[in-house]
Amino acid sequence: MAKAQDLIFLSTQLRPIDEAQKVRDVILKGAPKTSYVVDEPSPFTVRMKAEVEANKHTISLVGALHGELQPLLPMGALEPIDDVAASLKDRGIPAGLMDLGKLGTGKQMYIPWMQATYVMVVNKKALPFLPAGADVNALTYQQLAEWGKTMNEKTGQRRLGFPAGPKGLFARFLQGNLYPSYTASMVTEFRSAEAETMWNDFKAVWAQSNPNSTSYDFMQEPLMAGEVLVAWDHIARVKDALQQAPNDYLVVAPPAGPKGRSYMPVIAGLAIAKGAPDRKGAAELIMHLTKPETQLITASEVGFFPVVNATLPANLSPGVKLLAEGVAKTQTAKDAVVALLPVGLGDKGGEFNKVYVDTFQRIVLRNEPVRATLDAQADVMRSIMAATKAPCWAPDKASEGACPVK
Amino acid sequence: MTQRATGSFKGWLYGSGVMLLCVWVLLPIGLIGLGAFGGRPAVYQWPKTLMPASLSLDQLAVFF
Amino acid sequence: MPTSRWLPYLLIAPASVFLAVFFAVPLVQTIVLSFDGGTAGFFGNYQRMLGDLNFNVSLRNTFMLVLTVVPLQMMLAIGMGLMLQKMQRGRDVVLWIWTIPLGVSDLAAGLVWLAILQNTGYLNTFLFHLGVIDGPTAWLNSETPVTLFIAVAVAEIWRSTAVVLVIIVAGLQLIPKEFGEAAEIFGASPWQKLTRVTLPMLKPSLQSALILRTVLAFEVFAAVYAIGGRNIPVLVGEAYVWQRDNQNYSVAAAYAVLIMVISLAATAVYLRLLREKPEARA
Repeated sequence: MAKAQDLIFLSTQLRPIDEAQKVRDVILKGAPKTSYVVDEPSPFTVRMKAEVEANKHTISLVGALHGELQPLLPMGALEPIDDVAASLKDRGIPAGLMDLGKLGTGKQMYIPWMQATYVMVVNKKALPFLPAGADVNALTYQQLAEWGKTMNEKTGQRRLGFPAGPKGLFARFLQGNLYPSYTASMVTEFRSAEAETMWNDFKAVWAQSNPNSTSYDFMQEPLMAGEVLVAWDHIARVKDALQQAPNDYLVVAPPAGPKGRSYMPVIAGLAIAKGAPDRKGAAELIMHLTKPETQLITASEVGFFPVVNATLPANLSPGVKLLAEGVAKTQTAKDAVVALLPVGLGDKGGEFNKVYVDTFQRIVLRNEPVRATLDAQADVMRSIMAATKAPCWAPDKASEGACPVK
Repeated sequence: MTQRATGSFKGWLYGSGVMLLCVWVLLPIGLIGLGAFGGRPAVYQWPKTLMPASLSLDQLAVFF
Repeated sequence: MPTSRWLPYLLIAPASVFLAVFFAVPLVQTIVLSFDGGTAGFFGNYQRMLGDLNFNVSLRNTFMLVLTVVPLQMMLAIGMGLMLQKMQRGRDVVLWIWTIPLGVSDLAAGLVWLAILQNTGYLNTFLFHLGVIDGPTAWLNSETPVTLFIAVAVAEIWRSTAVVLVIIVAGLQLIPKEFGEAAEIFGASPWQKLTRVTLPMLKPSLQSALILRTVLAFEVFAAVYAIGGRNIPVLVGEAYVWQRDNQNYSVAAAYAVLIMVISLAATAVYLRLLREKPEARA
């Protein structure tokens, strides 16, 4: 249990009970005495806000995704930590990542902690059904649909899977993989002709996806059950399947569209709360968590990858090795396009996701006309952009003022 | 049918109604109670057996 | 004496303060929040709620669930109550068993039924051994809305019939035996006895049970969420999604106010329909 004098480390990452336990027992071993507390993103924001407003601080260190730390800045909940950044200069965190941690200010607001991305996991049983001439490491969305169709015909079940359940990350698939692969954009080209083609192509993919997809939260379970043979998800959410049977699976880059093979890097960062009861301890904890040894332990225990310059050891467990290879394939694909997590949306992040999921629901699940739906949803998107005044982020071209929706 | 026969038939019907309702209430609780010892693999075990194939007490560690 | 005049007020004061602080204040806050639209105007949140693609679906699902579940469980509970009344031996044990679901939280009840009804669940195993299906079959997704609805209704009936049963058992015990005996002497059939004596005498209990269950049924959420996720949207579920996922507390508040208005309206309807006429009261 948390003792009053322990430093409190609040995190939105590594929440599942076994992962949190690994953080406490393994990753935080040798660190200052810490109670590791987890919370879901939305209560997390509320709690941080409450501490600022009540001016009663219990939390010292915060661990969250880039997009979750961003809204804490205007709230005044984050402490600049240039001193910490200076003391870990020799860790070899890439400058680009460190810059993200400035959140658009001149000061370091968070230190990159660990990274991940979204990949496709393929059960080897699915390989015989690959369409002729298709390379499993360089699929297109049409090939994926065709593959799913063959699997359906040969196995009698729809074997593609997406985490479109209440806690699944399907919105990230639409924003980070599907949209940019067809339109080279996430926001600006939302209702373009390319987007129309994209939705029509994706309908064919969905038609071969397991009907339980709208209930899947983590794809590792249906993969382990054999219910799904090819699945898209966050690497941390397929890890158990790969750990359990590393010889059964391949991890490959997500499919490509006409504009490339888009992927979304995920960056989690460590920040010190303003008014932290134990700033010194929090800084020490950051130093501990960004040590190359700790970063490697983190990779092998929970499947998030190092942000520091650390070579993954050869004796990495086979499941994590598969993931590492999959991430590398995704990042180094010839036609790779980077799509960043939404930036600058503040508390509208949820409604932004809703635009994509609603569009999917209307076009794919309810079979509403593509053109009219896109036009209607583009209005919603415009109002979100107008309300937040968020400028465009990659892959959209930089904008002056709010990111436009054409 | 004699008066008595109708009576005992009614009694039987009545008793089985009560039993059926007891089963309706208890069966789901019994099944999940047994399932709790199967751990994660038991969730996707097919076909299900009354006692899960992968018996373990690990799940109960959550409470400690 | 002044003490005796003030005593009743003094006695209800703690409860009143409690209600005011923990119910009235949040209620007013919720109503205020639901009209706090920022740029969207006074009814902006309500417009967003009405315009949302899941609004009509969730309204329809909620009403259909209430209209299916409440009547079925009223009948079931009356039946169970009458069975208990007739029972000579083992009455306490059976009552105890039948009220076990009272102690099961709604989320847990949803998970219990999910374990039974999911693809690789116990029901499918049973059907598989009977030879009805030849592998795991999905009943609970958006492509099987009918079975999904039935599953949710069954779980709700299983979970919450016990509340009605308890009220009805209490009500049945209050009916004096003499009434039934008198009816029998005048040659009433068991059916006549039920419809002319027992049910009318049970009216106050039925009214409380109906109001309680209907209001709670409009708030149905956790069991639905456990079994169907968002494949079967209901009003409270949408409020939850707006609050938690979309992080728009104002639209969530609009949903909350709507649910409250519906519950109040249902209560008013029951009170009116089941009102005891003053002259009928002896």
